[in-house]
Amino acid sequence: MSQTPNADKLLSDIQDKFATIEQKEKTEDLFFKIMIPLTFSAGIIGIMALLLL
Amino acid sequence: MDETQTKDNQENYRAEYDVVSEGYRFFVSIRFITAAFAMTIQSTLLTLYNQTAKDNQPAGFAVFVMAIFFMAAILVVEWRTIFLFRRIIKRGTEIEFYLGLQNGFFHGIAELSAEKGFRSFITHTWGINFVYFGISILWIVLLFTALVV
Repeated sequence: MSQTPNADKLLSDIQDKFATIEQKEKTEDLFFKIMIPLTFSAGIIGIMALLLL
Repeated sequence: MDETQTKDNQENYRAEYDVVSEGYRFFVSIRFITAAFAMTIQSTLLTLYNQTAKDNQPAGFAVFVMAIFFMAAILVVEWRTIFLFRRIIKRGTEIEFYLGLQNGFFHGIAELSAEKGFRSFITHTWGINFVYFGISILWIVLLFTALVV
């Protein structure tokens, strides 16, 4: 599709970059995988404290 | 593929590139609008918590519960926005490839995003995440302070 003669190399470069980016995205996702349950759990503890008072 | 079809495809890619570029701008601004909205609500709730927690502990816990669930909701929204944002950058890079724009804007973004080491943390995502992390931890510390003290 691309008009450039070295399209395969460019495609391979892009794929390599996206492979690196996907690895970094997993680290970024880890933040949310920890923080969302943590905040929900803290909220549940807050509700329990509220009910017990 | 004949020449007319190739030309049509190029036109379609150009039209999609405009949409994707517009989407990129939209998602950058929506992330900061969400962060500003979260900060405004959280600072209001923090002020309310400081005014109520000392004299009326149940009211303090109620404010805490509201703030922490709001924070969780913001985190969910931010995560979803990041998914859409990543998809847009990926699609933008693909379209630039199809259009033969090997030094295009989205290629530049992909190059920056692929950097390793300390520079990999210099992103909007990490910056905004630190803000949300700080607010969440503040509320959790306030909860435990209220429960223990």
